[in-house]
Amino acid sequence: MYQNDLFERLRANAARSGTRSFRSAISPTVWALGLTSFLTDISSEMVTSVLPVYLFNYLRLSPVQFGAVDAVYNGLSVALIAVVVGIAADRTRRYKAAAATGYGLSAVCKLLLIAAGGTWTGIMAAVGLDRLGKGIRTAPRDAMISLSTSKHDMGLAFGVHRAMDSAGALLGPVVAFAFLMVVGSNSFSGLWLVSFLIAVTGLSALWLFVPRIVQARETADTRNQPFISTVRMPGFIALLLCGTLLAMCTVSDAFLYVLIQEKSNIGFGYVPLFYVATAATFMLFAVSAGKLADRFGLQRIFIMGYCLLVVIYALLLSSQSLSGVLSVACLVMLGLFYAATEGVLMAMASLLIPAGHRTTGLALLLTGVGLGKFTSSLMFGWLWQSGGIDLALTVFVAACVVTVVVSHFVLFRFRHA
Amino acid sequence: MPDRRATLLFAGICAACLAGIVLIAVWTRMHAVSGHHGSPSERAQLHQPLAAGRLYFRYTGMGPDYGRLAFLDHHKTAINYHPDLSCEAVHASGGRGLCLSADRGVMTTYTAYVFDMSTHEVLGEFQLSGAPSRTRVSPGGRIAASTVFVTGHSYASVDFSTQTMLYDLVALEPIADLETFTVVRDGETISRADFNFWGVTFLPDEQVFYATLSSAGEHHLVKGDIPSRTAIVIHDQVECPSVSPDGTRVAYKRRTTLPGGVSWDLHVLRLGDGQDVALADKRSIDDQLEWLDDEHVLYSVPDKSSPAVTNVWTNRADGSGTAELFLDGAYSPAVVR
Repeated sequence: MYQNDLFERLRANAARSGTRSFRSAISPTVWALGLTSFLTDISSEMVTSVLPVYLFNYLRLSPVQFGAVDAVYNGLSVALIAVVVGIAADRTRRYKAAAATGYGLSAVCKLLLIAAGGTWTGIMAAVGLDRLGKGIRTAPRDAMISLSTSKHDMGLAFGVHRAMDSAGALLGPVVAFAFLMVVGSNSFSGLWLVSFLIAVTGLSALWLFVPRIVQARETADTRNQPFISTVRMPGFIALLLCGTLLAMCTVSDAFLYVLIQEKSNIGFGYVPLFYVATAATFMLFAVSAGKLADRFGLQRIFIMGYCLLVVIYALLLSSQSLSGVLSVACLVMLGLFYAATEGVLMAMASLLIPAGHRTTGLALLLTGVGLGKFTSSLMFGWLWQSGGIDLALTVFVAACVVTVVVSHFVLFRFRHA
Repeated sequence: MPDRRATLLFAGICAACLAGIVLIAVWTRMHAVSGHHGSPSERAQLHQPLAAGRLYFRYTGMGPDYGRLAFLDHHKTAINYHPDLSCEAVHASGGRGLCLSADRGVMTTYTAYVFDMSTHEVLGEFQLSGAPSRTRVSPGGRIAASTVFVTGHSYASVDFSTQTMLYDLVALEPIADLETFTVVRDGETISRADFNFWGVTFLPDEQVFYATLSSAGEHHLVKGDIPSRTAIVIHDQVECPSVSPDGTRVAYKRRTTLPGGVSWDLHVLRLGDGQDVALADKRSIDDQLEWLDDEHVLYSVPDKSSPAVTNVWTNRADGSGTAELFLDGAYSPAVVR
């Protein structure tokens, strides 16, 4: 009830203050990149959602082999190669080409998946290259979003992009399911081919609608400054550290879903719906959160997002069992957390990093966040196994509270750097 | 605003891709249907006469019947299919069977169906909490076990955790999760958070079973007692045990960790004196064996053409002889005596 109310208010708000400034705030480049991400996410999520079934029930991989594929899938996004590509993109200002390389690589991987047939090493290579493609494309894409947006609309622009991105992620599994239902449940090669074709439309949206040279809207050209001066900027270092540390205190979604499922006693088969609830909330609120961030301060909304996360952990820690309403509330709050932090972090970084080093800086931040998430998963799993779930949650709540408070002061201190 | 030419080109590419998708869908569907009109039993071919009363299995030949619950009767060569069920793993004994199936969709859910062997009727079902791996029905058909993989329970998703359940097939109720059993080793009760059980096999009394207990990278053979809810560790380095019809031996797979992964060798352990023989098959085999009779075992091995297709092989249980092809296009064989 209260969520509905909030939603209605935000919608009314968006409608009132909206349309005119919305048009001018969001450049065609951002729409085009949003379209690219929308299509690419349909393509990649239709593979992701079916991959476990394919590996397990169809190819009958053993858990050890499955684990190896899964580790590659989750681990390789932390690729330092993204930073190298970032430097190249900044030097040549060919952001579009850099992003296209990443999108193209991911598209080709769908074909490799067909070529791999049933060999699990082949699948691992395809999956690894797909993640590499994601690692390569994210920083130049976000750099293009920020470069074609005025600094007053940074939160909104990233919000619009993330909303389109998560809409694609929501549609992917539906497309995959519909295809398998119409064609027959073992037509995996056909499915990979469909995924490839959708990836091609995404790539062509990038190619046709994004200008080859993105003109920075207002920041002066800083290409000739040595990169090291950006890296040494206190504001950027502060954000990099805060982003990484906060990622280290963030319990991965997979763990949260298992916890919510166990405490609420909702059937195991419904866990994928948790993902849908979170992604749908993210999609619905990304734009509003971005707008609010532009009005009241990116830092403020970002910190508020993490406060929501602390509330979720505290709820899970304090209650032996979750009612249905509280479980849904947790999932909605998780979606709001993403809406308030995911794009907003990149928006904050974009305001701190000079245009000439935008891609490199964003790539560094993404790498830091990726490493933070990876460490968090290892630590949380280890704490859970050795000391029990209550200990793991207590440690993470405590760490999260301390880091959020520290980040609050640090981010405000360096906000105008 | 994007210029007209770009918009038109994009529309063209989208239309072409959409046409491509429709073509793929139609082609794949036609392909599947044409396979249906061919001889469906072409792939599942019995290489040796069947001495048992009936053999249940998951059909893995390519085509529309892939994954269906199939069976062969004594001295017959034609494959029969269960009218409704498709299984990831199946076992049957004493008039009843358990079929672990995956219902694929946006959410893949997993269900265990209890079926009657003579009427094919589905008697009941149990919700499973993950991807099916192994199942066994006790010789008298009163009790059954299922092992599933539960994801996300371990760090960085590299490790997997299993859940093994026991069911009462007469009352159609779950009996217990094996993780609630008291585990005893050398007279002492042990308990660890990382306990995982899998691969249950029942003795004819339907009270006692063997299973694998894994903890801290070790794999133990445990002997479980259902009435007292206890399991005693009796041997090490045993995975997926399968007890012989006469109850004297256990066939199992033994793990070797190699730099590039894991390999499993097949062994038979005599329970009385602990004598252990390796079976004459050099391949790495990841399966829970099934006894054809007291001298022969059955197991599935992926076909060279595609790992989705598996064949059932037979081998002597005393380590002599060689592996021979038994049935093409089959997985999870269950011998009904």
